[in-house]
Amino acid sequence: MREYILRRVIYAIFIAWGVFTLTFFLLRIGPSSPADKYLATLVAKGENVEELIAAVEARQGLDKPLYIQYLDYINSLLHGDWGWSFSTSMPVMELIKIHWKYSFQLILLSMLFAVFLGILIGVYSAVKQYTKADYIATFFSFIGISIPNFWLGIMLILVFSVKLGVFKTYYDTSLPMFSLANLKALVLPVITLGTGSMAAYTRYVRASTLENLRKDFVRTARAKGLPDRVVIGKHVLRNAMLPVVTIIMFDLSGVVFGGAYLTEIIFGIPGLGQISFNAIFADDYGVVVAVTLIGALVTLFFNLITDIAYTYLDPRIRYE
Amino acid sequence: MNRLVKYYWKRTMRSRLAAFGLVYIIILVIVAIFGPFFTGDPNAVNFAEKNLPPVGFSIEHSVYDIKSGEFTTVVVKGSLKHPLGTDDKGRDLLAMLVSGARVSLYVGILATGLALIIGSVIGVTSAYFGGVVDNALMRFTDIMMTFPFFLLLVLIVFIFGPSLNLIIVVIGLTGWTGTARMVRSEALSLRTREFIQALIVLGSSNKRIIFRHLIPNVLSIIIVTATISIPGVILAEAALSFIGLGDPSVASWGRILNAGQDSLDTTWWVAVEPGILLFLTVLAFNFLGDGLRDAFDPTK
Amino acid sequence: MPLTLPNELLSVRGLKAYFYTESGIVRAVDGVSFTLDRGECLCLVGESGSGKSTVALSILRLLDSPPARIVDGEILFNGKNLLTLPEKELLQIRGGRIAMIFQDPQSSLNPVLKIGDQIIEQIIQHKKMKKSEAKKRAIELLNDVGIPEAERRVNEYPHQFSGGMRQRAMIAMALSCGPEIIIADEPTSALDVTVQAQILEIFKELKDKGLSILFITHDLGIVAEIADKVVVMYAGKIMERGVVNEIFDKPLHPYTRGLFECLPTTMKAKKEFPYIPGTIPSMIDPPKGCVFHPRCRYKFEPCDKDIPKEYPVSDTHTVACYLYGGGK
Repeated sequence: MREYILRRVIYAIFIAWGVFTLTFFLLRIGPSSPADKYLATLVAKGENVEELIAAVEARQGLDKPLYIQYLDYINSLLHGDWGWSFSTSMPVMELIKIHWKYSFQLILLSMLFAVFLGILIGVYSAVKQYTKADYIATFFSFIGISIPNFWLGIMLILVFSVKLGVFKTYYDTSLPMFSLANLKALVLPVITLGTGSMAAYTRYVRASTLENLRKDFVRTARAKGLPDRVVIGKHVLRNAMLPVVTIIMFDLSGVVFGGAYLTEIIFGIPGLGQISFNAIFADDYGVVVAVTLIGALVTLFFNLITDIAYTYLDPRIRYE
Repeated sequence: MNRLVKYYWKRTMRSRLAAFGLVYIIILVIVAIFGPFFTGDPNAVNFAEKNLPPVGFSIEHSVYDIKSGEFTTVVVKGSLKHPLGTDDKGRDLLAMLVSGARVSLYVGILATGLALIIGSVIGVTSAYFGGVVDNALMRFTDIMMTFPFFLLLVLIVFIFGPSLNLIIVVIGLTGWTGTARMVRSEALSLRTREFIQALIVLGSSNKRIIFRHLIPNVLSIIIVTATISIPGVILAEAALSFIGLGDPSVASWGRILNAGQDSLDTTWWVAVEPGILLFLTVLAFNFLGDGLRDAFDPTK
Repeated sequence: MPLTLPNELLSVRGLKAYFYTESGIVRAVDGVSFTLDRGECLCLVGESGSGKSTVALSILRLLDSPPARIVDGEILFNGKNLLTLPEKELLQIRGGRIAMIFQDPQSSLNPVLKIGDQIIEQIIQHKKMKKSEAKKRAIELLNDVGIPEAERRVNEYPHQFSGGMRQRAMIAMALSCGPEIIIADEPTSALDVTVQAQILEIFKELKDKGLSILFITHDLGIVAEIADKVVVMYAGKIMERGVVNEIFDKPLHPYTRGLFECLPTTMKAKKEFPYIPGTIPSMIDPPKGCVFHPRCRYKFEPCDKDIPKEYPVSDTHTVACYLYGGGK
């Protein structure tokens, strides 16, 4: 058990190293080196380029051999030095420290929304298989999966903000984070980001629940005199959730992070997606790279958590 | 083989939704190929006809009258000349959407094809060689999977600059991981499956096993994966265009949508129409993919 | 109030349980009646597909509905009809006064819950007991059914148990609330032969302690060891019933005789492997007349026309066959 967790941690570190290395080489084989892009911006500002070249190259370490650059890169990442954002004139790490909570609150609330409703509707749909409620749930989950989230966001703004005026069209950054007003401001963004995932979870939970409802141990549980509430809520759900946990994990890196990026842009939420988006237009390299890396590291972290959580959820793995 | 195709066709068409999806996709392909010859130039700017609503809708415009120096309200009605309306530069939305369909399908099919080829090659190689090769390839797959797909896409397109073909290559180069894993595990499980073992014992040739059994079995996975991947790719391209990382030389659905977002309070249809098309297209592929998956699932 | 004899604990009367499938109505149980008296062990015998498991599941209303439905009959437990009992009272009887043990202990236990917790939850459901008390009780029970180191084993998961141990745990679970009846549905069929004998030994002990057992099996060897009374089923109907000695000494129904001829012990002298020709008939479209007649060696004129009643040959022994009654 302890050995298993240790193995997973070491593996996660190995993957993190792979992720760092891959980004490093991606940056080096790009058509324009970071220095070129940086210089181009300076030229545009009318500064004396010649004088700055040496300083720039020295700061970014581009005058050194490639392997030294690579080691420096890994070294500085590990020490929390994630580069300089010239468009905002502060270290990338500082910028991220300011903005991460906006992404975090959006993703957290959306996931809660998606997981809670997805499980609820999925289980209900499975228990009531082939009834009208089941068909409706299945139909709407198809729609939820297919609706492009950025378009859904725009449509929600069009209907609820522009036409009905129930919500503001733009996220108000002055709201304190733990306030009802902030929660209200996040209603549309959370629906925008959470709907697709909720619909996907509904389908997986339904399929998994159906499969487990037919298992012999469910009949045993009924034969023991347990009420349906316990039979389904405990015996079926505990088993049905096993594959779903993995799917939620995959969904996080595959769909949710990308969705959060777009959702932040649509609603003007100043999270990591928004700063990455702004950085693209300012050609601010460090920020775009940093946001991608953070996404990868968070994915990795949750992968690890899932692996460990799994050992508690499924005893068969624990004692392998 | 022909009989097999017929069998699976019948099973797929059992689902009414899958049939709907297929019909929609066929129509979309025809429109994408031939439509642009009928709809005119999607880039033709005509400020005299800007901001026209779709046919059947009307909208009030404030117009500044030079003679009187006052604003007057004019009711503008949609006309059959521009059945889906025009944007703020007077470009015909129908023409733009039809050419956008071409872009979306082009990206969706090519990028998915590329991803499937890379994924299949890596998956089969991994399963066939096993050992160190398998380990190395699968660890690399894990690394690729750790990157959130869309963020990686943004990063790479940002580094290499936006162009349609580059976007296709990038999606192909980043989107193969799921396929590789599935093909690998299917190939591995096939190798140990009893009927293949029996064929080996009976002296069936490798070639026969690969072509008669391995490929048809893996093919079903690939067909289903392709069908459910294409909408994801179309959405990814639309999302990239939506945040300004699309190819600036083509009017994709995402770019039209992006342009429409800024004028929701006046010309709402510019954002609504490409979105509906995106939605329906993704829905159609999902319906078809689901039908195919059920058709290939022997337990159903 | 239906009439019941004082000794009758469980009485199944005219039970009909059908499965409504796409290809038609499967008449899995078609008019079955029998009674289980206090302290006796009744064996329900038949091939797979004869409907004996459906009878067992019907008693506690555990059939999946849809597709299954009990269309007729009553099941009286201490005079109360279980089939019309309100859900709440039924839950008290399930696991509390009538407990069930299933064939495959591997799949019948929940893989993600501890063995102990699966027993404890049943005890808490039926008895007013604290969790710590229930756990003590669970350890006692595991100990009683012969699981060594029960204090440690109670915290283990099903996959850490061997097949025989799992079935012992299932028995412990069934006994946990002091039931009056145990229904065992082929409890030894999925086990190794040596383990089968051990599990059967436990059932014998339970019987000696005065527990009433409804034992479902296809294995006549087991019947010989444990049964007081035997009911032979075929294609959803009862073919023959009697006290165990009557059935073993003097099997009358051609089907019962066929079953005995197939026993390995009586087979020695013969060269060929004996079997009953044909297969169990489709229960969607059962044969007209006696359901066994297409496979019967002795079939004669009336067999494919009318369904034979159960004709008594002694006070306790009846046979549903025209060879023994029907006035022809």
